[in-house]
Amino acid sequence: MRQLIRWMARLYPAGWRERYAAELDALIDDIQPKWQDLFNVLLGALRMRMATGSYLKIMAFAGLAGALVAGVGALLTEDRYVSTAVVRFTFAGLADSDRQGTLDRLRRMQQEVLSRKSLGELMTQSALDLYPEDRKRMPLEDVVENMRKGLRINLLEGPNWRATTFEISCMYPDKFKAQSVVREVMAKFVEQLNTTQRSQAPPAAVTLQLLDPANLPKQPIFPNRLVMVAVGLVCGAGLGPLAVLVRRSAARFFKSA
Amino acid sequence: MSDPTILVLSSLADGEKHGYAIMEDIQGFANVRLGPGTLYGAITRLEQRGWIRPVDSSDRRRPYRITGAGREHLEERLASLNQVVKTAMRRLKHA
Repeated sequence: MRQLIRWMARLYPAGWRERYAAELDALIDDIQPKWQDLFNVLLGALRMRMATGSYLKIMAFAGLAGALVAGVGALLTEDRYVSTAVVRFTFAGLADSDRQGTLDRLRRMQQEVLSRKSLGELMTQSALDLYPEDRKRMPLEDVVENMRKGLRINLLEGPNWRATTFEISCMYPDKFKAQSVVREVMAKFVEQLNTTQRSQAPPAAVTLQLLDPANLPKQPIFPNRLVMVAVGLVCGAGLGPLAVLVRRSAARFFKSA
Repeated sequence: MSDPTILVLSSLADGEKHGYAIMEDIQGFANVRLGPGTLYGAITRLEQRGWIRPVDSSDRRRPYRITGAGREHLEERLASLNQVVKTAMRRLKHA
């Protein structure tokens, strides 16, 4: 940590370093350094650059500082993986009068699969144990709501009375669990379908076909660390000189007034 | 009270100190931990304004002392702050 802070101290302007670097170095030796000291020295160097540097140097330095802060943020951001499966429901030999009823049953199945009870059970399965930290500090309803945001059931085809195709996807920090959740949701659909068919007389002519099984994602979908660093660089390079311009203009204004 | 320049001047009011001693002193009397960047930012500004002066030393830990102008500035700021504190206390009592 001390070494990191020393590297950060090299970002101060050369004139300042000549005068104060040895003292700052001694201070870094004396303190118990913390993470916030690293950012504090970075901020100190940024302020000193802004007070004394040319706009070009400020742009370069603020861009570097922005990229650095964004880089640290990117490293601290948790990976998110998405697993996806595609499933099709086909309806064979339905009478016209059955068609709308069958589509309604399909909608009810989807609602049942995404219900609070169903997702709550899924979350607390010992093999999955999803969102353990959130479940400790938040009501289950809120955790289920968060889970719903990461769980998508998108229509790819239909709904119509011939075939309805869904894409089921789950986003989660653990790629194996993301895949398991999609499989479990699929299993719940099958379970719902069987229950529905058993309760029909005559049985509903609905079949479920798995077009793409739940995949194991290789790369996280989020965060894109390179983009985050690039955004930090651009924002820093743009906002740094702007802030200095405003500050210097204000200082000139008050001096003349 | 979190203005680093006033905290540093207050710390130096009773005698010369180097960076780490100033930091520790401020933490003791104001319960504020100034980071190294903030402390040396304040020291730089105070020295530029002539309110503190470095003491000759061969050690890397160079001490600083408050100047007459610095003492005068500190007194002005504390008097102004004192006025605010007195007014606020009086109003709290009557509220």
